[in-house]
Amino acid sequence: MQNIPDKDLDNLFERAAEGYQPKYKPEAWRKMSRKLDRAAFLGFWSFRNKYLILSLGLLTGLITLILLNNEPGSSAQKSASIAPAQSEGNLENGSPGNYFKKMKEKVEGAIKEAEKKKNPSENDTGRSGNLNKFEDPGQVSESINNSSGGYQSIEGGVTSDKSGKLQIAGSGSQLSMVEKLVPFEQGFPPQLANIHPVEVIEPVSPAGERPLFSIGGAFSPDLSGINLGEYSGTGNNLALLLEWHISKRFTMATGLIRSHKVYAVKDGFLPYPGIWKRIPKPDLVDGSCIVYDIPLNLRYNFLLGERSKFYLIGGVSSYFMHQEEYNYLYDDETIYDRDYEVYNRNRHLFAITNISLGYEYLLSKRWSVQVEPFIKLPTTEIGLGNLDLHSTGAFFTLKYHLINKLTLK
Amino acid sequence: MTPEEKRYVDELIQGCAKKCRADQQKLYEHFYVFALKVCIRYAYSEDEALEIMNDGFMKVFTKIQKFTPELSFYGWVRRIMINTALDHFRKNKKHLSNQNLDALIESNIEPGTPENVISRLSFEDIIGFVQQLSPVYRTVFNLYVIDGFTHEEIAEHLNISVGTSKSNLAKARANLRRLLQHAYHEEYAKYTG
Repeated sequence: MQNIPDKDLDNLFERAAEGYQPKYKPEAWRKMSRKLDRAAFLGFWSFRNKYLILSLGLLTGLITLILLNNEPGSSAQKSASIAPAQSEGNLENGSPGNYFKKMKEKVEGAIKEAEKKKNPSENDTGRSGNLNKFEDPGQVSESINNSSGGYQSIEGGVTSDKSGKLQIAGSGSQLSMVEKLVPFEQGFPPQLANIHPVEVIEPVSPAGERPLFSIGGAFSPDLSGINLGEYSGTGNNLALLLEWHISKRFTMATGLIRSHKVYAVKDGFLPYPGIWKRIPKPDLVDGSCIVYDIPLNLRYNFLLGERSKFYLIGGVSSYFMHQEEYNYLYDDETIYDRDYEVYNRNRHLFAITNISLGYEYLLSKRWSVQVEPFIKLPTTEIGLGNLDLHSTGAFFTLKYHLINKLTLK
Repeated sequence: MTPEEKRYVDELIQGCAKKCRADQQKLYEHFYVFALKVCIRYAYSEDEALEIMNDGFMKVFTKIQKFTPELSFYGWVRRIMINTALDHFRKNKKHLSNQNLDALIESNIEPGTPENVISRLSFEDIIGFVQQLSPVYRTVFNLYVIDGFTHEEIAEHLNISVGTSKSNLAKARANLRRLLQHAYHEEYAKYTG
């Protein structure tokens, strides 16, 4: 028995493997059915759906912020409406104008009433006649300055002095708040104290304040491949980002990106020289990798608006290849396809160049959203297959700014 | 596969692609024996084989849309079952000892007549010998002898060297010979009282 040749021994087991007929067990299908049920349930919470839900959550958050922003009387809207005019020192036809028209009407009404009480016989068209000419807040200011009366304690945007002169105080971000009107000592009616034209007007970026750091969460589809424009599937990137605002125009950014890269390669996949002499060269290699990407980027804001920024980013990334899964696929069905998986085997420090162009929109003083198409180009061969693997996509980011009261540079 | 069977399987494949549970069950039952025959050689027990097989069927059901109809469905299922068995091996590699049967089998067994022993052994008994091998030996033996892999391919799949693969195969064969010898001894004892 010990001397049975290898060939006979092998034949014996081949025959047994072929001839063996296990009996069907119904409980095997019951287990399988339960497994399918579990998979169907968990499938809803699969990675793809998680990202979908996350994206929907982000979108809902954004829509909520925008709606809040547009809600009449909301501080965000006030800040949105007043800010451009402030920066230019010129209040035009938009919301600021409406606000001042309303204010003008209230002031006008109050003045008329005061005049009636003070001098019932006097014609109503006296002082208020001037007010009717107002086309913008500047005129409101001028006209009220010319009037004999005055209003006290219109904090920030509208002020008055002891002589009773009322004026729109300065321009720009100094114009921040009109709290209330109170009767002046010369006998203005107490009803004016109840006039609250606007409670808060908060500029998006008050002078003297700028973000020092920002944190953000981002999501992006990921297209990876060897040749630009040829992609076999869509992966994804989830990112946590930290930005340091060096100045108004320059920002340093880093973070952690969990990247799922999906790609297919016909040629160029070479784990080590000579491998395809040892095993048949696959017709296609399907790759699926989980990569932790730590970027170090410099951002330059080349266009700065009141709420909008256009920027360029350049930098480098380090790739930590957490999981690399490859499927060697053969057209020839006599050759078995095979899977190959390695963990934490490859890392590439500062070996990927990041280039991106983006647009950021400030939703409020602390929140902003940005969209940023990017491309990541390797300066070395990536992963087990030593590939020139580039990635592209577009990050959708929600950012929170940590404000520091510093003078703008 | 006969044309009738192919038509039947094609219909089931279409149903499975739509996640029809009834078609999934029919396909499962149709390929049960075929799949279990593959898996049982890679497993220590039938329970483990069923676990591997069900994991394999899960892949079949979830990836069935990727199946190319021009190819053999049997070949595709077989590949999936082998790959799943290898996944199972890799996943459990940390917990698997590389013990062989040296300690279990007496080494100085008298030589017998192989033909007599083998003729009395069922296929199930012979497969049982393979199951008794250590996981690494069993996997290498199955891949090389029954599933036709080369040592290079085995080395690649199991992340071992080609030399280790050859050595494991030689040890697997040696252990199987001992198991056959042991079986012969027991049979002999039955007849001699």
